[in-house]
Amino acid sequence: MLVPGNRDNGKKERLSDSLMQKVADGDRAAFEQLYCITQNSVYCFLLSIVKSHSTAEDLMQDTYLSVRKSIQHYIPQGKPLAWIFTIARNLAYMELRRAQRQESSDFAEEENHVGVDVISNTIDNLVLQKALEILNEQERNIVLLHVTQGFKFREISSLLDIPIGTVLSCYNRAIKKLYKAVNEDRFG
Amino acid sequence: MTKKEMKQSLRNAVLTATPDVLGEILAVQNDSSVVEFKKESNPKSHIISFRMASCAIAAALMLFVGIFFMVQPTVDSIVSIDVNPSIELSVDPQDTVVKYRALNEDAVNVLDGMDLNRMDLGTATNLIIEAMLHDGYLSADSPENTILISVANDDTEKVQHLQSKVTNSVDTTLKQNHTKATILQQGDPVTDDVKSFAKENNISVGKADFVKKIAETDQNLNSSDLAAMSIKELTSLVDIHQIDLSGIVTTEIEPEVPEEPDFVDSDGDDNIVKNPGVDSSKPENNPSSVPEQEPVQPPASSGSDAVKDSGIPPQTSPESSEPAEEKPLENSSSAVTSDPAGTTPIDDPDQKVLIEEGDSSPYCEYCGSLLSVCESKCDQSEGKQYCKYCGQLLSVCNGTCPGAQPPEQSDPPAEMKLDENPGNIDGIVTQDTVIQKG
Repeated sequence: MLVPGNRDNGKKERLSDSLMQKVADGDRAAFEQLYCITQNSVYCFLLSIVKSHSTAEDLMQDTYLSVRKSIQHYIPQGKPLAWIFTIARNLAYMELRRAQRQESSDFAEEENHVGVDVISNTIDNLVLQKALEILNEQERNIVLLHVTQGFKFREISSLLDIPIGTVLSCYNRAIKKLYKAVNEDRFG
Repeated sequence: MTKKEMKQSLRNAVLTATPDVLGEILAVQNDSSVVEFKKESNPKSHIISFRMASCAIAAALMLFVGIFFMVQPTVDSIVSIDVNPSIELSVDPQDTVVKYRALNEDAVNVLDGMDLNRMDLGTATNLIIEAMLHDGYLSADSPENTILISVANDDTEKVQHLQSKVTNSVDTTLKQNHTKATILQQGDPVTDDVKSFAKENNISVGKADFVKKIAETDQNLNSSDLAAMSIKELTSLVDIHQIDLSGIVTTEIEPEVPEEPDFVDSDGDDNIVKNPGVDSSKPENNPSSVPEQEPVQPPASSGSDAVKDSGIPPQTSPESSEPAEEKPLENSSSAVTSDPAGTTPIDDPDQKVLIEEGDSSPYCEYCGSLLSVCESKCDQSEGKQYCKYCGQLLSVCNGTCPGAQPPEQSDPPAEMKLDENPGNIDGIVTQDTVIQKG
């Protein structure tokens, strides 16, 4: 599976079952390669669910630790990123449930500061904040994976197990909604 | 801002915000460290763990307590079965026997080798009645089998249910063994007074209740003396004193037997002839104690009169009562009582038997054995064809006994050693035994 590259080279790298097998064999270099290939996608996916930078960062660590721990249980089906996304999604939902039980407002507080601490560019920070505020979870997933990671709609449909038509319509609707919100906030 | 610029800004924002946690991940070398990492990253998990542990402990405790109480049998009702053996069964709400105990030696014999725990009440009753039949406490040949079934429970419907269940089981067992019996039922709640009385006299609560009710009807009767009597003796006493049992017990089965016993001994006991094949140690239907001071009834008096005239409870307790030997019919002139194998009668003046012989007598008038046992195979010679040396029938002896005397017809010797009579009837009946033909 071709995965969008990291921030440095920007080209797509191949994430294959053989790489997963090397990781399962305890190859540290293979794990580092796996991390480099998938870190942006995993963070982007987690951020679209929890809408919090710090929580997404913690969950990102947990996700890769779980991947290392559970790599023996991976069944090669040509979809390693989907398997990693499944682990990340489960961890994110567990964290959301825990936070909901404790009636914590940590996420709400974090949401407002998602771009403040780590994103220096004001416009970039504004766009990301608006995307996290006005889009629902499915729209966030599709928009972030497509726009920031360069996943094709067909790949997103496969990764998120959503019909391709739904992905397309949802994306178009989300972009219009975000565009309108960003411009209203900047010029309104 | 165009859409393209917006997308670029969004892409830059995410790429900028993406953390690099590879170093932290690689710092974790093993699985145990993974657990510690998770705990450190989430301090609130300690609270969750503590709550889960508390819930687990509470659940385990409840499970343990639940199992403990489930294992402990709950006694819902007490069912007493009294013939002379007194057996008390404690049953749970599911009619399962959870505890049982024998209240006299006869009951110990009946329950010997029997395990009734966790057994259905009907099955347990079936086994008990079969054991009583096997041991001779109930006999197909006895017309006066009497069984008292008592159920102690505050719930009237439950009492009726258990009475019906036990009675049906008893009835079925008796029918299978071609035995008839009178079943007396009572189902009143047991009071503390009855319980203490039962404990003092070591009898079942059902019998204690029955005895106290009888004693209340006649002030001349001593409840302690009544407690020592068997159920059959109690029913006889009820007949003597003409006590109305309708308010005390209910009679389930009326046996089609003569009203009066066929045979009673001279001192009021109503033991009947015992099957010679039965071991002498085996008890009879009504192993009652015989007051020694009771005068010998004249031959003209019937057996029932003898019982009625006695009217006094036996002095010995049921526990000390040996299973009475069945005493054969004897003719006053021949004074011979024997089994088909040829038994020389034993002279025992203390064991005189008054015999009332009627048309319905089930005993052979010659050998005194049950007709079903004798089958007219005895010599019908009123005991005159016995070898005077060995006591066997002349046809059996045929001059081969140690006396080396040729067989001849003669009256049997008045005294004969018991061990020389292989077919004797346990040395109970005597030559003095009188038969009264009715």
